[in-house]
Amino acid sequence: MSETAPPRFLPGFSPRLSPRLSIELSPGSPPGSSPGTPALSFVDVTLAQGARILLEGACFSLPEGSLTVLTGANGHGKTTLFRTILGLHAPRKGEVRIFGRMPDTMRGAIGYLPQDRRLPAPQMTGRTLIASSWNGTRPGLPGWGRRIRQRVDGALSRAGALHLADRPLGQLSGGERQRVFLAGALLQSPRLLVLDEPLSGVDVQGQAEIVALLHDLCRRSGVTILLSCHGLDAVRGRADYRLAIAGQTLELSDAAL
Amino acid sequence: MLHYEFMRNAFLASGCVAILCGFVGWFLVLRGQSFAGHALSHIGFAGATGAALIGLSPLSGMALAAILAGVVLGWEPTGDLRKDPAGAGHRDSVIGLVLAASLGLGLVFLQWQHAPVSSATALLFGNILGIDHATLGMLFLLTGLCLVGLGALARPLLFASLDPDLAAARGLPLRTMACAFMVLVALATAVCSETTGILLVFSLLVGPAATTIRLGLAPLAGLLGSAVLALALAWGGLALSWYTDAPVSFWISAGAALCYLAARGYRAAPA
Repeated sequence: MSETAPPRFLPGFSPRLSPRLSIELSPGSPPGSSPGTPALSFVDVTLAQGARILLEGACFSLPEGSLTVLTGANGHGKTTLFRTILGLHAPRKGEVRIFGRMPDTMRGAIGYLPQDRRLPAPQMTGRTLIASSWNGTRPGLPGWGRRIRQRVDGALSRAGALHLADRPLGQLSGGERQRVFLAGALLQSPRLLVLDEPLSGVDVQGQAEIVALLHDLCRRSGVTILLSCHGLDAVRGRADYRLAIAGQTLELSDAAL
Repeated sequence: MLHYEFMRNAFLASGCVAILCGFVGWFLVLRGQSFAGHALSHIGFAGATGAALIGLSPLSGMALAAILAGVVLGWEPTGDLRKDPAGAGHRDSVIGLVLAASLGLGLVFLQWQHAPVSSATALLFGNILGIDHATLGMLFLLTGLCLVGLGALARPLLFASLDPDLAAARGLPLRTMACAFMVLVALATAVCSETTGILLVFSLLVGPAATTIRLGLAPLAGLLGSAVLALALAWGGLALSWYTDAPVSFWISAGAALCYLAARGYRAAPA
């Protein structure tokens, strides 16, 4: 078990956890949330796609500054769970809270890395792609200038992708591209990072580098990270908790177990 | 040549049309919707001839028909083509059929109003030297509207065009964006048709934009470069037409093709 703040669980929920885990408040809560508010909490959440129930009665909460890996077979609802966190998919039942608030009001605090995303303009550079997402949902002209450049360079630097920034995206390898995408997810200094299969298409060495980088982000910046992947090998020793989807249940456990 | 009023009108009209086409065209090429843009101009042909049949101005008919078609094309789900590889082919087939049907409809409308062949020629190949004050005013108005609309839409449109999955995850309504953009394209094609004609809309709308995108310019440089190149092509075409007697549309379309070829050659050349 790593040295990070352990998860807080909601009253009435008794997950199977190591006895070493205890409730501990994490510093650096975002404005408007009370100290110790979980970064992410699910209260009796049921998720469905049409008539198909994906998750039933899911209850867990994650403290700020933790690194959690979400595992589960394809088609079992990992991406739907992420979309719910982003406020794009309404739960059939229950409540989801990001730092104590409704997900759709907290999109600015969440950095997201979609799985297997489309690249309609691979001739564009990573720097252009990332800069285009700066306040990208607001009307107006595209942003430019020193301030945005500094923010983009800062995000690229944190993701270890500064040297890749001016190459066309189509010329980057899978691992290099994921680093650039990760920089994009970090651009608006999120408090919660939601990464959908960030290690897919990346070689073993690249996977280790990305996981080390995420671990460093958690520890140094207090960013809460939830990432999905198919196994625990790549994140072993780095992740704090594991959320496993099996059947229609979601189980939180200590990743070291 | 600027002593003549018709030439001054032509320079003013082609100038505002070129700048609009440069900006709108850059997004159109970036989003891979050049063919849809081309179809809008043909649908505008049916609108223009239909409007003339009921006593309205061709430009207003062209704009209305193209806007309606733009909304339909924008609403058509673009979807994720990785999951539906045949989808792109089907969409192109539909656009192609609508394009051909619109040309046929326009031809019937022309025949019903017993319009002279020169009317069809002016619509198809443009009549920039015949721009009057009323049309010029309408062009300024439409261009102004489009530029204001594009100014408001530019940032989310760029985000949605470069990174649609992330934009959707941030809550950007992609379909509404696509509809709003296609309405702008519809207006731009209607305005552009006044200069280059319906068949040669591509030359100003797509040529300069494709050239700057081929050169790999960043968005702002690409947008400005596309507008400047379109302006140079339009005004250069007018000047060359004055001195050579060849049609303006010919010079504009030839210039656009040459610029694109030069950009391809430049990018392909070893450093």
